[in-house]
Amino acid sequence: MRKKFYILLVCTLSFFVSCKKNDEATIPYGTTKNYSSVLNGTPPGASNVFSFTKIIISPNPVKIGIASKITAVATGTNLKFVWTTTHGDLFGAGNVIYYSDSCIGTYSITCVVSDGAHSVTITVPITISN
Amino acid sequence: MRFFAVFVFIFLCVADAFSQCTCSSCMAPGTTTFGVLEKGDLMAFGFFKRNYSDTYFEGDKRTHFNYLSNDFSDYSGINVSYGVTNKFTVQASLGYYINKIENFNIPIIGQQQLSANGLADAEIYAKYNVFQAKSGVFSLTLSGGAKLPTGKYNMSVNNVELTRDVQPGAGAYSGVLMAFMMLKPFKKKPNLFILFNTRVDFNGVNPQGYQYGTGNTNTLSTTIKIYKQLSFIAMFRNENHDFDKVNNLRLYSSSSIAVFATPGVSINLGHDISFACYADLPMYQYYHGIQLAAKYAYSFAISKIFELHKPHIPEEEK
Repeated sequence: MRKKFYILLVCTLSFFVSCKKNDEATIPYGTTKNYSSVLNGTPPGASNVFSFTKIIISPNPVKIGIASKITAVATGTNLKFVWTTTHGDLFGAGNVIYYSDSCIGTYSITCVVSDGAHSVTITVPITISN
Repeated sequence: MRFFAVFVFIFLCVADAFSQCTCSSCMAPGTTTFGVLEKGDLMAFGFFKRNYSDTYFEGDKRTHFNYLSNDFSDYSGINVSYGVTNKFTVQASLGYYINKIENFNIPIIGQQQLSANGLADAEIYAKYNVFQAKSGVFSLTLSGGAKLPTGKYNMSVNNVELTRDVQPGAGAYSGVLMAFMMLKPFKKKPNLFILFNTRVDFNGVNPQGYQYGTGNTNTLSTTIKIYKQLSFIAMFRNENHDFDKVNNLRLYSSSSIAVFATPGVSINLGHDISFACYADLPMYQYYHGIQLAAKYAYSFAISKIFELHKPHIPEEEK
């Protein structure tokens, strides 16, 4: 009986320890670049000089409630730009869009550029400040 | 038991807040009915809710921050409950955002609008009446359930992802616990009920790493008969919303406390059909950081009970 009680006690305590919150963590800051070029052969009409080198944020950091211009620097033909963010609002389409947010913090913006034969993904951090 | 079925109430579940620096109208409404049904009864109700916000708060004070000009949504859906036994009821609901719209006024780019529509997240619940006093003065029903990520959470326009606030789904599973208590405080006034409902939503992390904060909604309500089948519903609702997280990091402006007055009227149209309408009026709001606050909401619901069991015939009529 006592053995069962100790087993139960250990299980209960381990449950609470594993569920402990880590709410005070800080937001990591830095640039993450994830190049994932996929070469499947060049389809008719696609350029041989495909490149996607960087994302420019201007102004940076972004002021709360004010829009910043986000530019994907890429070359090639028939380029497709796909934009996502972990937080905030994106406006526009294509290689130049605008980002804005009403909540201070550091988030990230990801752009995937492809021309049908190649695909490159770049993720950059974006900071919203007062 | 049948009495409770007419209390169809649509409330905002703060835990489901679709928040980017939370706005109340971004929240995905949850639905609930109070109490359990009789065995073999099936209750269906349809609802519509409009939310509107256009004012920012910092703490409990209005602030002149101007980012969103306004934000509103139109949400409708159906909810079906079935009495498996006299003590056990199962419930499911599914909603659809007719629209979720945000109108921005941002320096440099001016007026912009982001909008979406679509199926929202589904909900399933099981309710059990754990205690019913023989005198009928007190009743306690406990419920457990889940929200299922049936709504889209990553909709895009021209390959640019829409803001989370207008996405119709959360993209994550949620666990829901509820308790409902009914009290008849005065023997001389058997038609006077005091109803208390509390609900806690525990939200999971969606594939984008976003997690809505734990939400708690408490309601205290009563009804006053106005005329024949027409009743006035007086309700106060308290919503508490913990911080949302992005990749397990707290979102600065995302927790809130709010108290709403929710007056409504309910009319029994006969044949077990009832119609109700409600208004949501904020009485107190506190927001961490700067957030778009609730302005008003109104809702309509129509319900019908279908008796799928053999009608109960009193002994004296047999």
